[in-house]
Amino acid sequence: MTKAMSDQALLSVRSLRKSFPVSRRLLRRTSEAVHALNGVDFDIGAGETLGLVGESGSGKSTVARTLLRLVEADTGTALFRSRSLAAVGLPSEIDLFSVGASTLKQVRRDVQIVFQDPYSSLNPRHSIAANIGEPLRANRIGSGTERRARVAQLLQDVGLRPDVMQRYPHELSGGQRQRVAIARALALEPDLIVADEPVSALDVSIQAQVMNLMLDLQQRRGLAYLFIAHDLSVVRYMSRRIAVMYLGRIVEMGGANEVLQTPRHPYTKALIESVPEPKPRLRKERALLQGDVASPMRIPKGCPFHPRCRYAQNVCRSEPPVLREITPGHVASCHFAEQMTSAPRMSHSEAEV
Amino acid sequence: MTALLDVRNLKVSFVHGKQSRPALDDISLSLERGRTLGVVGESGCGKSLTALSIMQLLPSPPARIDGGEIVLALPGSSRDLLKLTGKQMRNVRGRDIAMIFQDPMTSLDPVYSIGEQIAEVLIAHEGLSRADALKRAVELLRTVGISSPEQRVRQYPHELSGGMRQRAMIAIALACKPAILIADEPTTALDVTIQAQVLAVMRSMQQSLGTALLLITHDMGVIAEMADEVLVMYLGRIVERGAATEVLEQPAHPYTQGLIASLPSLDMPLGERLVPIQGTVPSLAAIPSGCRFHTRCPHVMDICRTDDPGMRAVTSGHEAACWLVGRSP
Repeated sequence: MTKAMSDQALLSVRSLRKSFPVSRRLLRRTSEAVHALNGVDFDIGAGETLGLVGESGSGKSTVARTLLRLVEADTGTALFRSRSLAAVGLPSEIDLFSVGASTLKQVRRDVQIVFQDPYSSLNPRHSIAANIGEPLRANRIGSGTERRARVAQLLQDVGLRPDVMQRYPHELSGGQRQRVAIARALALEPDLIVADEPVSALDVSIQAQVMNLMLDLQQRRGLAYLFIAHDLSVVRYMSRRIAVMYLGRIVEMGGANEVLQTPRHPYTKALIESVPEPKPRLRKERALLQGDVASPMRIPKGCPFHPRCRYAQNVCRSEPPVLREITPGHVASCHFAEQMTSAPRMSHSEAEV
Repeated sequence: MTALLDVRNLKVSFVHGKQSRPALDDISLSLERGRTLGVVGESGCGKSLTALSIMQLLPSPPARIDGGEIVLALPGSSRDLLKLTGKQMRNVRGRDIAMIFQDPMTSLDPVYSIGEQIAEVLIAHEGLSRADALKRAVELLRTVGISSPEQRVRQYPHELSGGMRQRAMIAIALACKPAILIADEPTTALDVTIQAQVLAVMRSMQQSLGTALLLITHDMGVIAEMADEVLVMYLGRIVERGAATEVLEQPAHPYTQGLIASLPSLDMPLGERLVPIQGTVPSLAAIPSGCRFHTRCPHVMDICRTDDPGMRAVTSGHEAACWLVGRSP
């Protein structure tokens, strides 16, 4: 793919790679490495949600962390269109992975992150008001009074009562804490929020409340999300486009309906079949995926998915498949992606027979 | 069919000094051979506490059993577990009733090999020799679908993946062919593809051994896959019970309806919104009067604020604790 940014993209990530050296025993020789990301490409448009789904070890959280520069990418680019840089008359299109510290601080206003566990990302010794106001204070935005008014408004935006302001994180429920984390992420009016498993620690009824809040905020503010989760139904609910990751690569990406109704990668297909649905009549006779995810320290040769793939042929063991467009806007990396057409899910009418 | 295990009117509270907070109120359930009872509810509803009460593993203090009985009816003997001594109860645990937990890493001992941990159960309860017990351990690992069990049996918990560890837990739990298996969120920590494998193992073990399964989970999808009957719990009470198909497809209690409406599904139309339950679960220190769910219920009426509805029949075998149930429209 070209390095040029497409016209609509807010963020354009290309060839993102990251490996973590592993020290062995006493000598701390670093002979091995965990290959967390092995060439990841995707775009996110302004106001759009890209859902990133994958199992543990797929590298989805590493994508989030490299974008925020919480860990440094080994190679790759992340071209981002920054509104705050444009506002101060600087070139607005920058590479998140290579900008210097002062520019990065400026750009961080535009890209914020929400983590799975709000309890560990909020400061337990600061009141809720201080936690939400922190980004404003750090960026010297507004006077004390203005900041207090802004915090009150943010609390209202995320559906919390004003009396929460003087409380501390431990006094709130998990759902309330996640609302606080979202309010803090919104404080600097970002264009992109990277949300790493934001609802997976929450009870189902609270999970739905927080997801609806995120959808409302997106509509009101034109936010873009990179929404990361292991739960396919949650990702499907939040996103128009879905990317499926396996062992540090995107193996399939496209419109949510196309990916779920006509998956082109056997892994996506298996993932869809594995989701238990709360409809006893739909109890699926599924072909179980064999084995575990391979270790990211020893990624299988050829197609990384071949040891678990029920369709694996000789070519899969030797040749790595290329991520390519199968139908417009729908990419997959499987040697047989063009032949994979059968719908894996039973429709309701079939189930009734 | 007579029940293997009958929990009747179980009451448990947490005691802090002079205060006592009811944590389980009037819980009754029964388990039958070869059947699966699913217990579903959100954090704090008391589902794990119910399991721990049966196993007599409640953290006490602060937990205190205030009443009820837990009758284990095996061929030739029927005993109230609440009246057993510590030693008698140790013989029940592992042999008659086994339990698996959400996180196998904290329930497996990191300094013993998998084989030694399975063998320990067989030596303690069945009096096997160490060599025989280790041989059986290999067989057990094979039946739960662990590949090359001869090697795995010598490995330690940290050398296994999460899915393998949970299979090893199942092997330990089923080593003595217990009549009852209690599984508390057994697949919650696993990836979905691995969850599907572990659920399949549990189902096939249940079929071959005729185990009664008490499956505790927050996941309605897992209930739909596994359970014959289901109990829905809210704030220490059972609010709905019945056949799994009926409860999931025609939920009668507004709480159950809300839980199901909160779940995104893969085939819902793009752009359609979920309708979550409003508010949050109240604390045990402030249990609402009347119907416990009235503070969050979209159909709340005056009577709900003052009077507890108790269980009311929806259809035969399906009950819900709601004033709207059984009322003529």
